Amino acid sequence: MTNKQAIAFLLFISGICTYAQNKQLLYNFTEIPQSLMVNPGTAIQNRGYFGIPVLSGIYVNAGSSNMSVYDLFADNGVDFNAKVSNMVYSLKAGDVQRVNQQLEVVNIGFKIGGHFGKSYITFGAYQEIDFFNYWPKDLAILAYEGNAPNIGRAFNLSHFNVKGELLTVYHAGYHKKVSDRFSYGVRGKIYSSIIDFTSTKNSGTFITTEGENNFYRHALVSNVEVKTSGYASLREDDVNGGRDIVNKMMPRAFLAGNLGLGIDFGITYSPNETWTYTASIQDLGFIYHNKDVERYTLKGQDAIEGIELPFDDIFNDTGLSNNWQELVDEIEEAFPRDTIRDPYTTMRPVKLNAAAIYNFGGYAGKNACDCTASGFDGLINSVGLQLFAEKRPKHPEVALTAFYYRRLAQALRIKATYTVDKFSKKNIGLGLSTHFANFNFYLLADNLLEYYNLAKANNVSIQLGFNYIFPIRN
Amino acid sequence: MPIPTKKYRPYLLLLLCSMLWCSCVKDVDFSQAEDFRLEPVMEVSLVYFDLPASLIGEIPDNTTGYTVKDSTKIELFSEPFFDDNLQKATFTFEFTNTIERSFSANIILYNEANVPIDSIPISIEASSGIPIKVTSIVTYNEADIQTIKNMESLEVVLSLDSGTPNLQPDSEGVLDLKSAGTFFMSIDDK
Repeated sequence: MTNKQAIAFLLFISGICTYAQNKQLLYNFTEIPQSLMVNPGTAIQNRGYFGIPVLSGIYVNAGSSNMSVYDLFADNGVDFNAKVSNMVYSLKAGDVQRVNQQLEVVNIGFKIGGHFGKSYITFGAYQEIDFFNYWPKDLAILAYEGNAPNIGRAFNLSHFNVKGELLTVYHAGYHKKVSDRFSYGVRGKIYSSIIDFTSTKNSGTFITTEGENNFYRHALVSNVEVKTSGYASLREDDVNGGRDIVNKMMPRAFLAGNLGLGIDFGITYSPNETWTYTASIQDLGFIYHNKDVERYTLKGQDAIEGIELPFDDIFNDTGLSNNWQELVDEIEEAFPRDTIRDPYTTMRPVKLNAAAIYNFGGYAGKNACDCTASGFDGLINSVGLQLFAEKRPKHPEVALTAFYYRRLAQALRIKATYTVDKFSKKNIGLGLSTHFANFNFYLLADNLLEYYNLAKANNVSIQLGFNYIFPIRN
Repeated sequence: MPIPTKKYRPYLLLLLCSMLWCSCVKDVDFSQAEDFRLEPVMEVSLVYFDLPASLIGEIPDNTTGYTVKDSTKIELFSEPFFDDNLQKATFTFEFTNTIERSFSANIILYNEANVPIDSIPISIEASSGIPIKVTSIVTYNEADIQTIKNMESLEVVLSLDSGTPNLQPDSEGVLDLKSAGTFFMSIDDK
């Protein structure tokens, strides 16, 4: 891959999608066992299930606020550099580029305590990639224009804010149906981090101003740090090619990596058959990085006005001083280069979901009331509002979703969503869950309006999977 | 009233799958990235000094003139970043003289082998009470930018021209030099 291809690929990745993790289609879609992953306290519609390994949960989302692939790569005769210029000046420091991908490896759940048991156990493992970048506006403008047109402008180093991780998550959950009105669930998680890089708490400025002794004074105040784990060992000399990298990373996926703990919890409350309220918290947890850690820092402050030629010294003792080396030494002393191996802790992006749901229409099933197993969720239509919030380094990402859900038949359920967030005001999603024999297949996709040309989408997410379901016996 | 499964399922599946199958990435051309380039312009302070007349006044009988020189390494422009991407540069030297004597300066650029590769002579008139400002701007276009890329050190040769008055340790006035480089970059992936 040439550098240009790599740049194009990175721009593509940064251009594809926006805003992930908001699984607005999956949330409360109770026929899909994976909805338990979003709310451990959700209503359960089966005696047990197991996900078809590796095919049970595939989730991909990518997004870029205020910028799409089309904006940059449209084949419309506009000069590419003009489009880059447009991007540099239109994106704000709060705009994000993100990618989130999850792949379930194992996912199993079953009711315990016999036919009348009220408790349910789940466990499994999934792999996750999470990349979240804020547009480094000031640094982009500095790289694009240079400092010459920006004398007196302080470039803000805090705009550099990026985080990426690859990890495996092992989880075990407990769900309890306390009554027809109320159920709750909790899930414990062990995170096994494979690679992490985090640079989210930077500060400082670079500024060029008029100098006192010379034309310009260049001042840098910097408190920048990039923390990495799992990266240093991949740069070792004996690592050549993909196979070596995979061999290095594999054990870390199986709890030999940097470990962390987290919990999910959630509730479902149905005061009557027409109203249901749900809420959940996901990934309230941390990872402690103490293996294979390398942290790179640029911390210090200095201001220079160039190289002083000390003619006064020359008059005194005609000696030449090594002015250049003095300047280099001064800079190196002001910004000591050090590779630190101290452990660090990262917080996982905690997520909140909440919904108010109004159920109406006739009853599903052949009988007038087929609600023995699942409480008051026997009505065939639901509408509701969902709120999603996720903690990210600068501020929470928030989305509001209105949805319509319908049981079209015993084995076919659909959910349509309309979601508003800072990336899109026209995000329409459609989800489908169907049973063939005891197999459940689900397919959820949002931003459908953009599908005719994905390049124009600011955000796309797709989720699909296969499960084997042990249905509830009446 | 439940709706029969078989009636709707194929249509819905067809609808969803066709949306996915029909989705594609249209009218985009990723090869445009080949044209990508950055063209920042950087202003960087170079050398400077302040030379008070009182210091020159310590030289006895300075009416006959006197020459001093100092040089500094500037191992910056031969770095790969500049070597690959520097397109054009201008150097600006500005002398301000408030001393009642004239000077001749020569700024000499040297390559790695310490061979002079360019020189910029500048004459500075004597001050009669008001500051004398002499600005010299040297431009290195694409044709001669290699001079800057080869530059490893810079020397300022400063001569006090012969003349009067004889400067004393209590003489007033200062000769100062300010200088900066403007560097026009063109960063691409060639």
